[in-house]
Amino acid sequence: MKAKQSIEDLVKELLGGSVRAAGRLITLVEANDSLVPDIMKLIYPHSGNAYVIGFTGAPGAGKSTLVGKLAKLLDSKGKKVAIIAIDPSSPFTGGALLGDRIRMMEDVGIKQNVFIRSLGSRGEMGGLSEATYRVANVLDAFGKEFIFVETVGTGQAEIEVTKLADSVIVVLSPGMGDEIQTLKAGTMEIGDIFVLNKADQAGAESISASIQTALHWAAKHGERMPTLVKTVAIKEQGIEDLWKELELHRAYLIESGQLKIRREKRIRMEVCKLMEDKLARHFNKFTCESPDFEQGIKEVSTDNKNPCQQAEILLETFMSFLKQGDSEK
Amino acid sequence: METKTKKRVLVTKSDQDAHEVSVRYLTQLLRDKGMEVIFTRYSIIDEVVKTAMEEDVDVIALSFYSSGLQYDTARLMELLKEQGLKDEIKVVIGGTISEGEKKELIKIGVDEVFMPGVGTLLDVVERVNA
Amino acid sequence: MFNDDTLKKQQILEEQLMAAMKAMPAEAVPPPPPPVSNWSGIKLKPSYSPADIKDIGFQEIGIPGNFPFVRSNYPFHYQVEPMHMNQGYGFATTEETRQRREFLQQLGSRSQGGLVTAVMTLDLPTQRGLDPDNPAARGKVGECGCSFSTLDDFSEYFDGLDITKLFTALLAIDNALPINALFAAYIRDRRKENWADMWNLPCNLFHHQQFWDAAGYPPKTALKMSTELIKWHIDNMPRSCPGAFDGYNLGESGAPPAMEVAFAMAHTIAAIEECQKVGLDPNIVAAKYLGHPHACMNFFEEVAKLRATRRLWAKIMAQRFGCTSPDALRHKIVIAQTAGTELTAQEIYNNIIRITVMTMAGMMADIEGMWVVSYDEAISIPTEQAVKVCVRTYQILQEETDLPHVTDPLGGSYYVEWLTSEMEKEILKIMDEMDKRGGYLKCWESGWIRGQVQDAAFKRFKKLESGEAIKIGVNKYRIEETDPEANIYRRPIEVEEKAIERVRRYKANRNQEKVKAALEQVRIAAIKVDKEWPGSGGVLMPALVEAASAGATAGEMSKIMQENLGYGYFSG
Ligand SMILES: Nc1nc2c(ncn2[C@@H]2O[C@H](COP(=O)(O)OP(=O)(O)OP(=O)(O)O)[C@@H](O)[C@H]2O)c(=O)[nH]1
Ligand SMILES: [Mg+2]
Repeated sequence: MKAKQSIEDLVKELLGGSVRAAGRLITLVEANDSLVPDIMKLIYPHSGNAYVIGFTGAPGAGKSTLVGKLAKLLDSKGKKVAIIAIDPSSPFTGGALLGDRIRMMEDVGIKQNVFIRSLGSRGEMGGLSEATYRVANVLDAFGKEFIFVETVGTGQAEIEVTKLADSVIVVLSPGMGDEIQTLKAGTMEIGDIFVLNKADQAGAESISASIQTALHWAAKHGERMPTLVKTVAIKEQGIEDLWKELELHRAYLIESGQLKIRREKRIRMEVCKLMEDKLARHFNKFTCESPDFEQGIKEVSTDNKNPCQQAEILLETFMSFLKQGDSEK
Repeated sequence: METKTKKRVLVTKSDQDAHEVSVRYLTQLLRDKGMEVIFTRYSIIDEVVKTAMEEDVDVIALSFYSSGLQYDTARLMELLKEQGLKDEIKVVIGGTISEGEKKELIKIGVDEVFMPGVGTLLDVVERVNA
Repeated sequence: MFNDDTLKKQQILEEQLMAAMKAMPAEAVPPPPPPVSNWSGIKLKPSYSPADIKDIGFQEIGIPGNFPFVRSNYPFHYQVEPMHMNQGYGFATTEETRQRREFLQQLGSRSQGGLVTAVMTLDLPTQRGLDPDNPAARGKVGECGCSFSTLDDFSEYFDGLDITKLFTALLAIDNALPINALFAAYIRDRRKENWADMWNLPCNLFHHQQFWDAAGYPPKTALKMSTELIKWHIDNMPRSCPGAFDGYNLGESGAPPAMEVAFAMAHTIAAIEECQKVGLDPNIVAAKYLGHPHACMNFFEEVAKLRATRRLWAKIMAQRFGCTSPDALRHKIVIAQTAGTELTAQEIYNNIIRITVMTMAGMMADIEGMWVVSYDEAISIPTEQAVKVCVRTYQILQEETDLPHVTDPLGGSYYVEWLTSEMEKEILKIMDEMDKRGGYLKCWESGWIRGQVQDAAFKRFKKLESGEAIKIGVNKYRIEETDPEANIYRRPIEVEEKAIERVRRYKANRNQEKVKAALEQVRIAAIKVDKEWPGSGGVLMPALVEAASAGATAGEMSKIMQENLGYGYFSG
């Protein structure tokens, strides 16, 4: 059994560089329980320094391998890197096989500076664990300069990752063929940098040409055109190029003021999310515990009241319930 | 809102050992029981402790088919102790292990030992989940 | 295969039988047996008749020793040449390994032409190209096999042995090139003998990444490694068998028999094609391949699989590669290995019966040789007692029974001929599926092969759990008894310490400049193999032999290869 430790102590250890405390705190913020606000309160003052890079792309494109190699490169340059790798949870059992880490072990398994954490999507839409933002905050406070987030490469998660990351890398591979066509429609818009991985495989040349064309369509309004980097992750080829592109993109974001805009968006999202959560928690409480609510529901069936009207009334009751709840606290 | 804590299990083996179909099967069984399973191969046992801390796992399940049992388990337990994790993480070891070795393993703090011919993978799942 | 008249008569007989059944009172008619499929998924009928093989042309079956060799590679076989005993062994120390070899000889173990087998398992670090002093080797040196990394190690094991009387195979897996280079350098430099006189089997298992989850060379590079090994041995050690048609490891990983052959065959085809790129003649390459299939408990399925493999091989070599030499058309199944996965740790003596059944399947399919594993495999490294039983198994079957009197005794059986053809079709079906998915290499890279093998393995586990598949004494008729305690061999820790000490000393006492220069040549050759293939075919092995000769260790050579050839690949 894990020992109970106060969050104050854990945060102190975290700031002192304890890997164990970082791991433990991540579990706590991921669990989304009532401790979260207190933890975040302690952590927040120490965060805001990390640069977050999102990796997305079709299953098997080579995201994990690439992330591992890039982390290895940055580590060799003396940068502090953390990786958050998200895999889908089973919607039925909630269990998950978190398989990204194994692809990174060869490169960063023992490197003291590279911290890898695997997360299950835990039923979140799009497979980006909702806790990812908070986990990133913990790692940020832990002193990591770069945080890589690998997401499940399915539609929704790709959009989600743009909200979280400063730079978004879309990883493609030659195996996809026709899919490039469909990419033009949606996915191409989210990437800041496109990586054609597995450039060693047949068809890489022609695919690379199609991507180049597609990039023209992809430029986000008012932003620079995304770039394309070719890599062979397993052979560690093109990783330096990718890093150069990342640095260019980062410089661009800073100079153009986009970084600020993106981060403001991110903060907006997180605040909204927190408000939503809190609201939901109270709402839950209200519907489960409030006798007024029960009474209101009953009235609909017994007194034949109009549900619409009743909802309006109950909402008023809920508002005062909310105020009460807060003053109690 | 509900607290979403999941049992997290690190299933691991030496990357020099290719015998692992049943280890993979075990990871599936554990997942199907609702656990979050991280499967890795280590090149040096020290990696396992780092992984366990980063992933904040509840259980380490270590499989040995052919070699490294004595050195790797002793080192693992030593490192867990150093990190103050010995009582926090359950260590489950399976593989070609003899009765005598089992006793040794229990003595150095291993929680469960599975030997050939004793029980099935389902028993392992049960003990991991316990 | 049969004339119309015969088939007609057969049909009448069957109709009469059906009519008789119908005429019986309902309660007297036994319920129809539940449908049975073999492990490869082929549905079986309760019995077979001429009608089932009417479409198999006689030329498909032929006579023993003739194309397509389904019945046997030879007109006479066990009558004149008993099945070869190709068991592996390997201990932490020279002394123990020598003792085991002598014990085997004493028991009468013999391989082809009376050679003594020296199939040596190497420890895991050696297999991965790690010298004993590498930190990742800690705790594993000399466990489950010998540690080999220097010329000194070869001296320890082979000095004083007549190399021309040994059938050697060092199971070096990813380290095969450096280890065989050391072996060659040892023969040439230290013994001043001619390596052309050796019978060597250099462990060409670079395809293992398909189904194992240990790191490996990426598929295309794996084929290059295989080619380097084959080319060098053809050019230098003409008696060697550098090609491996490996189904055993697929089978142990979970592939059912037909799948096992399909993947092994697809790999072999790709490997021979790769050899063609560097100018080798398939007639010669194919003749250098030897079969290393898996033998499981389904007796008839195994017999049919082995027969089908031979026929398919002959056809593919003839039609696809235009081979004409009989040696190339004959698929020599030299090491069928009885399945370790079929043995149980409970009631271990039952394993003797299992092994016997598997060995008999090999004999009934008229194969050249086997590796009979010992009954205690599930719980220990073979004890002397268990090894004795292995050797006795071959000997009893060969010398106490009438099994060897007639070549291909099951030939012509309605069932066996039908099943042989069905297995062949099933194998081809899987190979076709790979073609549809973009070819063998694609299927390897994408992890499709791994997925197939794994799915099959998991299915089998589920069946064993549910009791649908039976293991006597394990999931059926189980009684609680104390099984013999596992007697697991662990080498004394000094073995590791000594090995580390030895390799350090070896590295200290050599001409460092010479080693450096030779290793630089290895690096250049490795880069050439990576970048200028197939023009560079054949450059790596000679560079390795010279590096070994200069005093480089296997680990040093492997490291350079691994760095330059994309080692660390995982498929799927
Ligand atoms: N040929 C080739 N294979 C590669 C390359 N990069 C990765 N791979 C292989 O592609 C497979 C998938 O790699 P991963 O890194 O797991 O891909 P992923 O995108 O993270 O996969 P998921 O997390 O499952 O979506 C592995 O077998 C890698 O070895 C490359 O550059 N060339
Ligand atoms: Mg991944």
